[in-house]
Amino acid sequence: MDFKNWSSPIVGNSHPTRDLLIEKVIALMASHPLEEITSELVIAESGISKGSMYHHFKDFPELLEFAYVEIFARLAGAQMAALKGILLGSDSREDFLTGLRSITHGSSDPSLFSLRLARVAAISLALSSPRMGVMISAVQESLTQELADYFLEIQARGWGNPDLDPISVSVFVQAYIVGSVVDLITPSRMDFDSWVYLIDQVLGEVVVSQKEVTL
Amino acid sequence: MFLETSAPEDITSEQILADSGISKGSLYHHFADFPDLIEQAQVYMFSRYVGFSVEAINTLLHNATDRESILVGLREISRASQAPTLNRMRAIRISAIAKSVRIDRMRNLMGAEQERLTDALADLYRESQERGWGNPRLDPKTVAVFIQSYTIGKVIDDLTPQRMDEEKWYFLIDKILETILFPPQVEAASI
Repeated sequence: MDFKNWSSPIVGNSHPTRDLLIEKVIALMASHPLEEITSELVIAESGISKGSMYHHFKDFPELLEFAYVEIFARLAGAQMAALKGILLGSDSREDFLTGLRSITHGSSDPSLFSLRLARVAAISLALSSPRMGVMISAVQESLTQELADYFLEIQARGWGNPDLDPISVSVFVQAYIVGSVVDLITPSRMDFDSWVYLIDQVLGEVVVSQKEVTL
Repeated sequence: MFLETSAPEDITSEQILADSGISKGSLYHHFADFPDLIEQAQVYMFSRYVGFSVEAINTLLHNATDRESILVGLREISRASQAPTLNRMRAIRISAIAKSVRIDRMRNLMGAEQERLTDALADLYRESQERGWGNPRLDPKTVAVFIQSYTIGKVIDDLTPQRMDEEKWYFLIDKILETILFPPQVEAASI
């Protein structure tokens, strides 16, 4: 995924300077550890004055919060777009599983570490800051619903396990991706290929139906 | 104690001093600064949770006599560790992980505790594989990370005002436990 070519901000009001600052912080989050992103760096990189920055944002943490929400919304949007592409390109259960595997590889890719961590930081802020909570909650709710509708469509095609509840599947798929950050803070890491193998098994044997069901 | 009811960001040093009766000087004698105290409290809570979990797992393994009894025990642990009422615990863990990424001293403290939990879960799984209940094709450490991932990642559901049906969630988790992690028939030949 190319995070620099994403569309203009999804969340909040749009103003060219405000948008540019948010874009700059998002670009910096993809290339820098979070602790290195300071107001000085953002000012130097964007060429926007300090006065102008604090005209659009109450303080620097507020700018970071908006950038987190934006990343959160775009990651969600990019994942949904990828899933829809797989559905469009699949004529059978096997096609569909192959497509899902490519997503597992993509979403667990080590190059996306900083963005996965940004999502965790966003969730953490959402749970402690009411302002952030309201913004994230709306994005999260539509993401969970959209993924559930997607699974409903898979079930309708006879590929999804008919015994499973779409909302639970939707939460589960997001949960293991978000929760796998537990492996990022320990001195030694798990083996990436073993992870992909396990997720393949869970998707292929539990989430997707055992064999094509003719409805 | 405040962490059980308030977000880490909302706790102030004044609150702690007033409530504990400890002097400001004494607080800063023991902790580098106020965030240091909050971080250590978060790690302490996580440690207690790790200790509790490791004990539950060891008891389960000690008492298990067959695949069925380990599945029954794991179902109970799922319900106890993923309950909606543990939303504060999930929030504290997510906040501690987010801080670990930014702050070196937090990473050192949390990383060690996290590793202790991952290792204990991996040992449990390895032991189950040896007893012929765990899936021999899976890597124990990966299984340990996976179980924690969906347990903590359930925080996704805490974010939205409308919650999923708890029983349907456990139905899915039970299916994964009995189909993938502890499959019905593990062929002795593949071990």
